Amino acid sequence: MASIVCDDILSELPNDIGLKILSCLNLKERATACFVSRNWHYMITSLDDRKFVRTHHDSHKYCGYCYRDKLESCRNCHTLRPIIVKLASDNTTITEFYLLVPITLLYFQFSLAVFESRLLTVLHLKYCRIDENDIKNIIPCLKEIYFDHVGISSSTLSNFINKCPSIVELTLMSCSYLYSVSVPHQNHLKKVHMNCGRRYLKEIEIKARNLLEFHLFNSSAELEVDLCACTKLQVLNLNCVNIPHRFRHEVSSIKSLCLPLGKGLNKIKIMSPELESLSLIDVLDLDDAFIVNPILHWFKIFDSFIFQNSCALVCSKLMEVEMGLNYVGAIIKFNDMLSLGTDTTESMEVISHSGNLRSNFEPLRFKNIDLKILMPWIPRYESLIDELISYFYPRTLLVRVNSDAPKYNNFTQVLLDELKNWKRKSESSKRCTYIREAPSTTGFIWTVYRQTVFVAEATVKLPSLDGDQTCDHDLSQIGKLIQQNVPVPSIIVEDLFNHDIMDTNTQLSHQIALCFRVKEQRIFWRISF
Amino acid sequence: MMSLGKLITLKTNDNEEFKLDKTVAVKLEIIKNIVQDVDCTSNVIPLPNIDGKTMTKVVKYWKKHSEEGVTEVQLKNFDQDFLKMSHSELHDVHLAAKYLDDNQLKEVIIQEFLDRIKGKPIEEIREVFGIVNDYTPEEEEEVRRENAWAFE
Repeated sequence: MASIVCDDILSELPNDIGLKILSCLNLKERATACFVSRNWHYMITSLDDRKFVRTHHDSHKYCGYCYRDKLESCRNCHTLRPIIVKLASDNTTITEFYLLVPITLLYFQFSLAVFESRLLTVLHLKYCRIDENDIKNIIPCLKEIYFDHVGISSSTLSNFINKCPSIVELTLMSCSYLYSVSVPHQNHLKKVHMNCGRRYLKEIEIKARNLLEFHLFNSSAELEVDLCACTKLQVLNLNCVNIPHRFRHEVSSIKSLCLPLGKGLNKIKIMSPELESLSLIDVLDLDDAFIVNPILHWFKIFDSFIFQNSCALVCSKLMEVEMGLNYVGAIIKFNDMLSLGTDTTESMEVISHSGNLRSNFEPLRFKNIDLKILMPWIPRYESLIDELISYFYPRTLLVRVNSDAPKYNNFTQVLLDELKNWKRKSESSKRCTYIREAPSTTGFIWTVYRQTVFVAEATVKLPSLDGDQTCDHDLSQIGKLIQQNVPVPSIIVEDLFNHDIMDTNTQLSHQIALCFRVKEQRIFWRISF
Repeated sequence: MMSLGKLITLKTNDNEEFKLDKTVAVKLEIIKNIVQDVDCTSNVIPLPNIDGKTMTKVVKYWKKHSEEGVTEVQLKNFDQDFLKMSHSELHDVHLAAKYLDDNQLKEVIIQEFLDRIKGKPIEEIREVFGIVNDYTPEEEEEVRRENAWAFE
């Protein structure tokens, strides 16, 4: 019997370590961590070094400050300005400063005294303004800058960063005065996030030689990006509708590359020797991909599956692939679409597209395939699943259908019939586990392992035969039904959380741990052998 | 005082023995103290709170960090690999470091725990640490209200 592994190590750690770890989080991170569980919340609120400051009166001791529209507890102050001035003059030992000005005070100029704090480590500003001569002194400890809709000019920004020798992380969100960003070299600068807003930004140049991560969101097509100086860059995430038309960077050291939403990107050729993780998501125009990476072991491709030409991919056998297919109806034949293979000889030989399944290359073992079937009326599913399994050998297959599915061609029935065939097929493809899932209204989940059907122990409601009434069933009963090949029209899985696996066959040779999570109609799952 | 033998033997609670160069070992406050107290004939220092598996890791760390001529980059890479262990292993090493009063190692591990939390979405933290969300929707809403400023 497998059980769900629970290792909430922080709660098990002796109190002092857990607290020490949590006390190193900044105020904003603590706010997130509070959501994790009651225990974390308890631990965080019991930290007494700082406080989630919501009033400013006793700010001598505390170092966080945050002003919100809703904050009406402070009756003494009628406008924002005196509050900040007072705060700043009272307290030049602020270490974290968060100022979220209501949008009605857009480009609010706040007291400069904040910058006089020699201890300032975190600066988050929203809807504020910073002018050229605001920053006179070096801010020795500042590690994190987060500017959201901050009015700051390009030269001021460069100056500012020049005065922050300890800066580690820089985030710029929709700062509309910025036309070009030039980030000077700072030894500790490791991460830059940029969201360019709509059309303002024309040029980004980053000279930080130790930069490890660069994330770009929403760029315009005319954007120029120059990362030539960042020779140590490891993570590049271009989450852009348009890939910047001039992108200067040598990708030799990149370990993780994520290209979601890249319009206009129609050819990709990646031969970066260090690449370990590659995600292509929604890269709709991509029609030619050539990827040869000896140590790539995590490949994710979602919703970008219409290759016009070919896709050759050669990588390590250890690779884990996740694939999500959205418009499955458009696919005629899988092996025409994607020629994926691991090189069994582990050599660097490159395969060109051949479409020949029985070549020297073993098809990849897919870790999981997530299939969203949006058009259930397309009558091709009988062979679709067939092709998927024979070609990809997924260890996990997640099929999602929308709730209209039963209306068309008795879709559920078709899938159910398929399952019977799967059982036969799973003999040949030895280690296959399939899960089928649909939104919880008309869902069913099955796990087939070899010839045995496993189901999770949970409270399940089965529609009874005589109408809409539902009745509770133990999942083991359903398991028996499945084993007897009795078609089960639909199962509403209500609470799969935190239940152990119930095996309906005692000859279970491997332990299977399943962990389902129900969240907003989506079921997260995890299987391990 | 202890004899000038070059090797010091550390013995874990499951009787595994680790021979360490004295110059490495005496860097640690606790070992220095024990070395002064311990019977000079035996030369074996018992570590009743540490098992062999954990000690192997600790010793590996010490050795690398006391090697001569190691570049900073090499150390960084070593640390990165070294820290690729499960939470509970990390925890054990931390306890050992605490017992051995090795502040550097302690800090490295706390930093690693932090990196596993920092900047991650809530779902992912729960996933990584295997934590079950035990809030009721009402409580969750309450926490959200409390911390609303951070999510604007």
